[in-house]
Amino acid sequence: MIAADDIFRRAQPLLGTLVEVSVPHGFKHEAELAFTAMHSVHRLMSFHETGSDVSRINRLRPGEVLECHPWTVEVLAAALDLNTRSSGLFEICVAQVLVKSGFLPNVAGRSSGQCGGRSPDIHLHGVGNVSVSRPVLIDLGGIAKGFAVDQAIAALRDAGVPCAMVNAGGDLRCYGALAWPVHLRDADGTVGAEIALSNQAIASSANLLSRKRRLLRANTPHIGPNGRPVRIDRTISVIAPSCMMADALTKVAMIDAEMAECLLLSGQGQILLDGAPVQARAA
Amino acid sequence: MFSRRFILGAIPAVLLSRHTRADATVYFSTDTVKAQMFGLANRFVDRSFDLTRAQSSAIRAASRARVNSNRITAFDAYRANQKLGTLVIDRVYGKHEFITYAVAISAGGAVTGVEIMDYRESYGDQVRNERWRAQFTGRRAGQPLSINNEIRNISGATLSCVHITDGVRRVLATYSQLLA
Repeated sequence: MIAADDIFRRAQPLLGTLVEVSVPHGFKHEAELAFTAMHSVHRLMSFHETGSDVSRINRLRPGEVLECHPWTVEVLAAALDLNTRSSGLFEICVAQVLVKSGFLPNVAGRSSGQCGGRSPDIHLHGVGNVSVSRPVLIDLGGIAKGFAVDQAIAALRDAGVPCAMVNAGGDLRCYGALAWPVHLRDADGTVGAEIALSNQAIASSANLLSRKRRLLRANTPHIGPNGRPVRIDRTISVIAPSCMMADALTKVAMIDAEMAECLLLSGQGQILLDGAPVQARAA
Repeated sequence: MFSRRFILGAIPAVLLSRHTRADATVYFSTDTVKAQMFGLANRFVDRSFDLTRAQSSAIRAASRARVNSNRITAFDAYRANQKLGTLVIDRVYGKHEFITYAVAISAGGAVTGVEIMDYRESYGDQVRNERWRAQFTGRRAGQPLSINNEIRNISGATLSCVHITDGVRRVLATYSQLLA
């Protein structure tokens, strides 16, 4: 167990959640670099901020070309790749449904009904240029938080911090010689299993406690391939080398845990259901 | 709801405590958060006061956020005679958590940072339990919480910081009406 006395921890409200950075006491100033990186990701990829790359993409008309920050392009490229490899299960063009179900606010000047574009309608070309063949409403909420954690970890590593943990509301990554204890929260809010994490990332998703009822239907912030809300009563966790991959794969695993298992490179991660490993399909 | 309360009441406290845990994480005390957010300051002037009912209503109207406490804890930060800004310490109650946080406001009235000072979340049955929350309501900002002396990291469904967002709006309304 790591004693609290050895570690300096800071936390800020960011990325729609509470973000915590833990570093050894001698590296207090370096912790600031992690927050700076995550503030940048927040500004670029927030659905709510009108000046973000995401909001600019959501206002993009077919034929227009938009220059985006390299980080936004990196996340978009990963999201589009995962969309292809998951046969469309991982989808960032879910904001249309999330606006309708009240999980996201309306976008000024754009009716969500006009934005039926899906991932294959988003095109990346040149250095940082984005265009769409149909109007889209994207939300990077299922992947950007993990990316932000990865950027914070990279900033700390580059600054020479020997070990650290960055936890964005439960999507977390650590590195260094320490094994960090991580408690997994079950879908009903209780804390269940404890695991030790070392040089890896873990992300968890559940929606038992985050449903909005409308017209007899319980909506969730997770949308399936048919545009319908995905309801699961348990917590899915994904351990992966990067937090972006862990974050994104929880969304796939909620619908198809076996596919998520296949998308993880062999031996580089694990899918957990309420803290217990999901058995891979027999080869 | 009735049957659930009845069952909880019937279970001896010792048995119940195995299933209901709450841990606090303390990031900063009042003194350390001052140094973190106004590192250049060498003097702080306490501006804390109690809101009148009229002031409380005005802040609620301006911020569209509930006023949880009439006590406002605030400090003006100075370097020699130059005012650097104001630090306001506030707290919010979430569905599962109780959070004390500090907002740094520049001399020009802009938020320059938000730091969480302490964070206590429930780990089980005491979610939405008013009695669980009640244990914090009389606590003054900066008064130490009992700390579980180990690092806890939780991976679970993402917590929302919507209550902090509302709280910061309330702090800004308080600042502009009464502290600027």
